Amino acid sequence: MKPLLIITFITLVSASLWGQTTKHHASMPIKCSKCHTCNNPTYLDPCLKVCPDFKRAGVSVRHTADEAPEIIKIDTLANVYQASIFTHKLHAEMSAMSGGCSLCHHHNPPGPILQCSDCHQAKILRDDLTKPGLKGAYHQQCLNCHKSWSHANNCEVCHARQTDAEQTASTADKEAFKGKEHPEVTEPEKKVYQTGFESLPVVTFYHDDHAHRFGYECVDCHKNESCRRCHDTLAKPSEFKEDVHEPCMACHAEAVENKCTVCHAKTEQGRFEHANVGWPLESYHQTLHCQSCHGVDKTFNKLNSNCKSCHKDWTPDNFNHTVTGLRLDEVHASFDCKLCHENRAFSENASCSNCHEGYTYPAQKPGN
Amino acid sequence: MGKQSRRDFLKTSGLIGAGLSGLSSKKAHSGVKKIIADDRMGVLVDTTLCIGCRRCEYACKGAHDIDPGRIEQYDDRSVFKEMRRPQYNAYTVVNEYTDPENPDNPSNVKVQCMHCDHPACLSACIVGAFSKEENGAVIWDEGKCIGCRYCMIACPFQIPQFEYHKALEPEIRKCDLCWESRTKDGGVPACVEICPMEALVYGKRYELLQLAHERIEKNPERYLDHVYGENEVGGTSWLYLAAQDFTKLDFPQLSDEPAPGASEKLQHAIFSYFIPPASLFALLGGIMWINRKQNTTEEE
Ligand code: SF4
Repeated sequence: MKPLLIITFITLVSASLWGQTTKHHASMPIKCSKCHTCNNPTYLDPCLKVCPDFKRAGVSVRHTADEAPEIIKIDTLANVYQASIFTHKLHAEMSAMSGGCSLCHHHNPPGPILQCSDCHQAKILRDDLTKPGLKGAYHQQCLNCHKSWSHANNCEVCHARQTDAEQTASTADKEAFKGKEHPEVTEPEKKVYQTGFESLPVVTFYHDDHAHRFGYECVDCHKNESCRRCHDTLAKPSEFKEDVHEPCMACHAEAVENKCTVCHAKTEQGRFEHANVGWPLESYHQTLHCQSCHGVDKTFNKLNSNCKSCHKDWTPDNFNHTVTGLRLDEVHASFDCKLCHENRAFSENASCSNCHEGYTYPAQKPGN
Repeated sequence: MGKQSRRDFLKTSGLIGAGLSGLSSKKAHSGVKKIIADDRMGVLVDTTLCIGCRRCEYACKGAHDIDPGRIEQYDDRSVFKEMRRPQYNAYTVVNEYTDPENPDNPSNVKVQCMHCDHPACLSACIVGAFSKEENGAVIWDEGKCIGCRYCMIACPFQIPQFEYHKALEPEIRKCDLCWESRTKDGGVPACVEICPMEALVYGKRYELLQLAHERIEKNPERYLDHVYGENEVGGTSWLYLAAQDFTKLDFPQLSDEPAPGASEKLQHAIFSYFIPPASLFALLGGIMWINRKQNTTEEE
């Protein structure tokens, strides 16, 4: 009897407390719409808004720029000026090398992408001053980039004036902006830098090798590019040694240490050749991507020339000699490796003298 | 009772003394409103956000019955070639300063009355035309102003301007934080409302200070670690954030002591050899007031 009484008591108390809290929270002096998306939130379906800014985990539902809206008409605040037609897709594509979607959708909570107005209020006298209002949020976002690359910050760049009928066609017509694309970014083959380093002034950088042969993505190096990089004619290249070295050192730090000659030379240098590190690549290896052997973390681990260091699962039983470019005849295929490859030194030429006096490889081949 | 009248007497004789010695500011206009409310308002100006669009200049004129002209005139950036100061017909102006370390991003600085917590103009004004209102606005009563221009000399920021061109009833002019037209009734100053960048944030001064320090903390590379106006001349309602040294942006380097001390000395020097009419009136008024006060005390 006693436990039953206690349980009933607890249930009653908690029920009344719960009753009180819900009553209290609903009667709080805030609008329901601040937290709920629907008109009649229920316990089972509270239709809660994701509260932005609490967890700054960023955009977690990814999609390509193509799936994003192409054109967005920003007309939430239009009064003196007309709505701004924002080429969203174009900007999304352009942002690929400067932080992607999160460049603008900066404090997006996990989940789908929110609009600016989901977090930024249009009100000027806000409760929370730390977050800019909607007008500030739009303009800060746009102008922080626009003012630094085009040096233009007059309103008409984005808005037509309400009274100005003439401009309406040019800046307020959605259709006029459809299908706009950034011209394809052309990629240099190589760059030859003349640096201020007197004794070894020339640095030759093979862009195409890095982008295609070595398997880097554009964003691996171009992380925080801004439009200015190409568009700003007033911009001067940085003169700080650290700034200039930074993009290279992210990968080459270990190799370089204090050896300037890894990059710097007196004259223009040729491309990287594998033969220069002591092992000319032949046949099968020639067609491989660097990562296949040197690891995907792109720091290119140093390897020795022992087949086993990469081909860990090769055994005399499962090894197919054809991959080396030489198909052994039946007789030779049945031998143990070390009969021809003395001391299992596979990187050196095989020797025939164990059985065939006067025979040398590759003048004589045990197969084809 | 006797004690009470004695205190009253001391008070009034102090007042007379003040009148004789040339009107020590604070006592002389004991009727002047000088409120330093805990939740007084202010404006935080982030000069790193300001783009120099001068929409604030446009809105300010509109809010003060000055013909603002057409809005597109304000797109003319050639005005930045010169450093401008507030005028009798332009209570706020925006200047531009290049940043040698960041030549692509010049700093734009909006200049207007700082609305000091301890306004030197208020102390300097011999007729008590100035007041510091509850929301922080330092305003003045045109009806009382006699055009002596002491406020202009006293102001550490050289803000009050005088309508020299007017022969009849020239007035002192300066930013009033839109007191009459807007903020008195809880509104937002016109410049703050129009600013597209929200480079101007209107709010409670203590919250703005928190906000300013938060911005510095989050972005130490962007900002100089100094909120101008937090302590200068004892604190001002307008606060500034900047990327470069404030002296390079033409902000005067001021101590944390309220400026009125300096202005008092100035007055004492001016008035040590004669009693200006206002002091005389104050003296006479003081005597009348003692008499009346004594009468009422006796009646009690
Ligand atoms: S309106 Fe704002 S951004 Fe424009 S000049 Fe004034 S303070 Fe600067």
